[in-house]
Amino acid sequence: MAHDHDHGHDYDEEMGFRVAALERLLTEKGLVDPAALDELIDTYQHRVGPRNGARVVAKAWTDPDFKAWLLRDATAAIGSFGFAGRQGEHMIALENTASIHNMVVCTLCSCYPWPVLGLPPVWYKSAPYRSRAVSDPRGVLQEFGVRLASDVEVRVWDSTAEVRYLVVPRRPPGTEAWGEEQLANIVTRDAMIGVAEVQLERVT
Amino acid sequence: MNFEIARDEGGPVFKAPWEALAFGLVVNLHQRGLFSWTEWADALAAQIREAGAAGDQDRGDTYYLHWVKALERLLIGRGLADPALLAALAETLEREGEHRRAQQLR
Repeated sequence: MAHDHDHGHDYDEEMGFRVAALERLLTEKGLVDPAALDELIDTYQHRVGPRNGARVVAKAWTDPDFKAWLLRDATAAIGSFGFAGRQGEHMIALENTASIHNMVVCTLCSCYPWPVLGLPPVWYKSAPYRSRAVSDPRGVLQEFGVRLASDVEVRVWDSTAEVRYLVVPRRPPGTEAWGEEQLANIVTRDAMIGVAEVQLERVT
Repeated sequence: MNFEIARDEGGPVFKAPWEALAFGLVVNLHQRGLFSWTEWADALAAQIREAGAAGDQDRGDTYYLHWVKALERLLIGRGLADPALLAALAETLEREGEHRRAQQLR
């Protein structure tokens, strides 16, 4: 985490004033709406997170028609949950199978499907992930604890400002009798980025 | 260069309030039509690229700093702000903040 962070409190304070200056300027010019701003920050901080995506994946696992729809037109299928908008305008769902493993990166900045996964984790925004996901995807997957058989094809998808990806991970064996809600609880953010597999170990 | 990827366990999305504010400003400006998301992504990518060329390790912890700089630059480029004005405004706010804190301490 931030243990090796060399800017401390002063840095945050300085940045606080720097961004507050932008806020005041833009508010005075009528370019931002303070109420909308508060609402927006609250939404992304507290209400949108990977749980949205987990519900989509759980439905795809239990409902073959929904899954077919999701893989054909992810924007519409995800939109049926009410998860739409900023950074989710054009979604593509990628299904992981026994022979294909998909993982997602944004090599240029950090494009990420906000409506289904919330805001990106720190590592997703870091240069090492952005470059190594492309140059050495298997090595990256191994660091995240994913060991794939050599005959599994790894496909790396580079997000853009226009297109965002959601990985539909493989449903773990032993969950055949589970309902959607129970399944949604085991789907992790990392699995939907394609750097983890869904595990059963923590389920009671 | 260290190529290790800093992992996390799903911690908070913003490390400090200013990150959240910077995020909100950009999204709101975009919603209100000041720039397209492609324009924003290009500006941010350019900022990140430059920082990388200047030696930023870019481990994800400087991301919102890039975000702020990209926004400042975009506004300056549009003639909506200038660097001296922004610096003066930040100083004024800092003085006001100190004043407020001094009052709170009493």
